[in-house]
Amino acid sequence: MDEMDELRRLWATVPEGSAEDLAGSRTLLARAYTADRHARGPRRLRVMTAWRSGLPVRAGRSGLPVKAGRSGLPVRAGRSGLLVRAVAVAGATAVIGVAVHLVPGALPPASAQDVLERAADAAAEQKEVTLRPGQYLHVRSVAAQTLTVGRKDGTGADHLALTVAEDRWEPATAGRPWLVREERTAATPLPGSRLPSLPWRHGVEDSVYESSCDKTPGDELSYLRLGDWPTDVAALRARIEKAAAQEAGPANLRLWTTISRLVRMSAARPALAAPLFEVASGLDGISLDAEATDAAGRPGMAVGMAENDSLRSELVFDKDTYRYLGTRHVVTKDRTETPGGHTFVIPKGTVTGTALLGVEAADTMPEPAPHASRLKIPC
Amino acid sequence: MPQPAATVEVADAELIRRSLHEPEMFAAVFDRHAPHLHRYAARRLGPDAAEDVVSETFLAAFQSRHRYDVAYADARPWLYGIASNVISKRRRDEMSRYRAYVRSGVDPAEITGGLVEDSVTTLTVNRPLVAALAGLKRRDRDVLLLIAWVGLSYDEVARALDIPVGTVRSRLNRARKKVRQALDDTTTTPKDGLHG
Repeated sequence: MDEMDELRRLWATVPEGSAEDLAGSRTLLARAYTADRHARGPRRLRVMTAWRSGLPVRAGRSGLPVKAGRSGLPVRAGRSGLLVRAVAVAGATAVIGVAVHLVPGALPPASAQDVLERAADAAAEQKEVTLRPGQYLHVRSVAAQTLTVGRKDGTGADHLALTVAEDRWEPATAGRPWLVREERTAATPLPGSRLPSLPWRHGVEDSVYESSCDKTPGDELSYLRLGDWPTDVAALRARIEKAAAQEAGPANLRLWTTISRLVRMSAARPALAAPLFEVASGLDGISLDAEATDAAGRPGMAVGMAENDSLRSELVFDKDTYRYLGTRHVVTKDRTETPGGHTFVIPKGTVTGTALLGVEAADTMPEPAPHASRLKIPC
Repeated sequence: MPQPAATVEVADAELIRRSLHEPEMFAAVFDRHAPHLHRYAARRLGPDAAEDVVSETFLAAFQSRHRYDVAYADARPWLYGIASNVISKRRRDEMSRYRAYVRSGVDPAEITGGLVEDSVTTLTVNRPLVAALAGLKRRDRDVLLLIAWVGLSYDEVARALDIPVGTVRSRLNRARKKVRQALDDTTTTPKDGLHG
């Protein structure tokens, strides 16, 4: 007898659902048939008529009430108290339909946890980018940033939303230089500001980082350190907790911030991203924004956590594939800043962040520009 | 797994197709598959949640039946794919159920007639088995249980979960290996590996 036989025997005495077990579902379905028939003609469902009319709430099979769900759709409380999307009838003629858009085998994600689990599945199916010694990891991204520029006449400052293209080359072999290449490609004044008279375009800006360390210094994670992180969920969580302990703030936020950074840096290693999403799905305080746009303008859905009363940090995922798109910070209420003694307000809704465009192996790193800034990183 | 006798009369695909104009035809699909789907859900989540899973699965299936590919006569992969998503939203309940069993040896499926403890012999096998199930990644567990408890083929699981057959094989192999290790090592502390 092998493990599959043992599994088949496990709780094999659990009976099939009886007529009584299935009666509630059968009734709900029967109402759905009726609703479907009534919805024909114009093939639209008449939704929520009874709720809007204030008709009394129907008692469910188990005597528990039918009540409105989070989405405004009626839901039924089952014996276990678990909620089920359902249809309901509040009168002989008032028919209510379910307005859920469903793909066979793929219900729309209902929660932040759901999105993260699907993202973990998507990441697990992605291929790793592996480098040979001497190669470079080339990461392409675009960033949405804000820039404050003091006015020449001393009347205050202008605040710009910048789009910055970024290319990064990280070596597969320790001791070689990195290159970060940035270029501002667009600027939009925030409300109340104007484009500064000084040119905001600086052309291509190269930064070269050099170190003689055997591992990449500074960052928690870079390509050189990707292999150090475990992919087992429990071990990964323990490692994240250790790293997060060095940061400030509430425990959950520290974990979320650490995970977000790791996700952003682990683009080349989806085998690590998948358990990162699984660890994130267990955090209290995360919530779903079903309509989000990343820094590259791609529509997605975001899972995030409030960093404080005016800022929310998010991971953005593709709506269809659940692949990771990028990170965002969203200003959730007007935020007052005082850089250099100038006071100004960053309006609610301002978004900054980075969108990942691509990751690939490169045989060489481009030659840095002659005027590149160079930074030697001590070990 | 053998099909109920009724399926030889009219295939699921035909019932679903007809239900586009005659919604009540969908009841035959429900009658054919709901009892077993309830059992599958009860084994994973317990009988209370099973009722909810059945309702949610069939309502979702009914609402999206116009997208059903009638080239597939048997609707089980489609239905169990939806059910897998419904169950995944209750992943924590599933983990709690497994953990409770590993801790107490009480069969959580039995609720109406009072709690029933498994025999010592049964527990010797079941405890490490359930601990191993709890330690699997959800996507691996889905594949394993769709094959072991529902009887779907590799191709059907691939269709249910919308993944390549090769992925089904790799997930199944990974899951079987872990379960086999758990059974081989009966000295394993039951709480080990319960990370859900």
